[in-house]
Amino acid sequence: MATAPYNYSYIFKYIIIGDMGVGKSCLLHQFTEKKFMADCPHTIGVEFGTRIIEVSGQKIKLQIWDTAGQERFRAVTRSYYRGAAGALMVYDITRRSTYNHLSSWLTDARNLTNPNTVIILIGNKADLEAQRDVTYEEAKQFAEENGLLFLEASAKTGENVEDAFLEAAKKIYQNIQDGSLDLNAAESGVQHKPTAPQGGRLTSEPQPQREGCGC
Amino acid sequence: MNTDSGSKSCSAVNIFDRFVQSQDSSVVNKFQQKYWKTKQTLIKVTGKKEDQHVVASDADLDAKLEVFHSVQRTCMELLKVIEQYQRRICLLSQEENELGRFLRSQGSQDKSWAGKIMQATGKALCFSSQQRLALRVPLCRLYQEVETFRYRAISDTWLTVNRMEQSRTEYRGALLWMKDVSQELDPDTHKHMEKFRKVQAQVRFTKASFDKLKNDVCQKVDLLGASRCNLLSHVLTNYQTTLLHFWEKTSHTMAAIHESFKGCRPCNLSEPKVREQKKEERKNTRKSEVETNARAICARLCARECVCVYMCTAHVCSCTYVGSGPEEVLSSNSRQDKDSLTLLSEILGSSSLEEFSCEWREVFGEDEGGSAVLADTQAEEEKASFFLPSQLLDQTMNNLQSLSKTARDRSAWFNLFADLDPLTNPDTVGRTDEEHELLTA
Repeated sequence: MATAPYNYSYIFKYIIIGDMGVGKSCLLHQFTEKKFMADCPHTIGVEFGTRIIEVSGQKIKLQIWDTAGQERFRAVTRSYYRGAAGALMVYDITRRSTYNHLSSWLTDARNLTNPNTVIILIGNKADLEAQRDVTYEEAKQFAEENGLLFLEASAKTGENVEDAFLEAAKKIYQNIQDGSLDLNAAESGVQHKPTAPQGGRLTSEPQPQREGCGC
Repeated sequence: MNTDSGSKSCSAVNIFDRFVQSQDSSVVNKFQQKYWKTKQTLIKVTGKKEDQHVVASDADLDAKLEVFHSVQRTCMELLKVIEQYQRRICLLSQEENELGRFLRSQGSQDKSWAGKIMQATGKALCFSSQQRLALRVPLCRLYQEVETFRYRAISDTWLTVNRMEQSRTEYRGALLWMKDVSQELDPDTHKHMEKFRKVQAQVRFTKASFDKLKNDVCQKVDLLGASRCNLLSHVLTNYQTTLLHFWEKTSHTMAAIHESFKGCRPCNLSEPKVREQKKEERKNTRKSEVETNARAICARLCARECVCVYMCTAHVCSCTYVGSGPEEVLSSNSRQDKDSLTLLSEILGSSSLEEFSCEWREVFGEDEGGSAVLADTQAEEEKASFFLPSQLLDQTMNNLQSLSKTARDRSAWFNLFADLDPLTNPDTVGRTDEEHELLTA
């Protein structure tokens, strides 16, 4: 799929979860294409997006799984949580119900991912201040109570979209550095490019680089 | 920050989808689709528990299906009920007619006023039985309309429901397939992605078809409910009118008979002539024998809200006689006795046996003076020949009881549709606005 080789040391698997219509696909599209998709069709099952970012001088490829929010896909999307390093839990600040369902999404996330998975709460559609239905404070409190990062963002304007993905990546990288995340664990959600040709799944590149990685 | 060109874009997805769908004709693909559809069918047929989220997402559709099945079922029941009802009307009318003829024939053999009453009553009953048959016309109409409704509207909706169910099975089968494929999925593995895209295309396709049919079903069921309401309120008003006419006519007839017998007093205690006295005594005996039966039966009848419930004014009228003292009654009797007889001969219009019995009750039951005198004559003339054997009157009373019972049944059934007033906006489906839109569309 890659036309030119890029150097990255890690692959982080992200999943984006949340109610139907909160803007998950739009967030992804804004992040990868820097464009706002006005007429977004319902996601069927899951869609994928990737982007390479840099954290602490390290290039990291983000493999983002944008899951379907419609209830009928719940059983299907539950399969996708496995092996996620980071989870973006999205709600719509103009629709209270999407905020109220967060506890159910959080339960799924906690049950189906490993304990080190970084979960960040995103309050999308921050540009629609006039129709706000959920205050920043209460969401912040919810996030703090549950040990989540929190940001309000807007896929439309691009506000905080990069930061959302970046913050999570930083946290994950931090976890790797201080050893709380075991790279050798089966479903850590992080793929580290090893020297041995074990990573047949990784895209080809001329020179595999390893910088300060723990093998 | 570098952008990986492998990122998703809508157009790329569309192109790939089309490519995949063009591959759909491949045997393997078809086989796979069939396999998952069959698996889902098995789940449905064996009643195995389905994924709760998939089921929950169809909650509103399932509610509409409930409505549809209820409409189907109740239409069937309505048809059966109408059939039975028609049959009973026929039977009742027959019985009524026979009773009427019997009363007339027996009444013609009695030259006294009692005979005249019987003749009048008999004629009224024959008339009523004829009128009753008129009820069958609107009922027939209702039956036909409901049957047509069943054959056309309901079966058409049924076809759509079936198609929707097929589509739903396919769609749910595809979801099962997607769940299976999702167990092992790595976007960086080409093979995985190919497989996934294939399934995704299938899900998308079946979902679109299912969503469309789901909308169709919901709309059709709404329309079905609304049109059934319309149908019922139109045809039932006919029946309602016919029924009211029937009651009006028969009640007028009965009331007229009652009116004509108002002044009629069988109490002839003040007549001094011996021959008259003997005749009267014989009459009294007959009446006294009948009286005990009539009193008992009439008490029961009146307590059970007999057919004259709509003739309550007439009922009240006769009751006012209770207040009048025996002297007034007797004097009025002597005056009005002959008058009433001639009047009766002229009219031979209507009489209600209940009215008859109620009057008897007043005279013999509540009028203490009369009964005291009767008691004396009763002992002497007990064995004298009687006009109306008690069994005959019993039979008559029993027929009347069945009459009143059926009348009550009818009114209960009638009350079932009391809510269906064509002037109000009937709404069985529950969404007034939508239905109103549909009706006015």
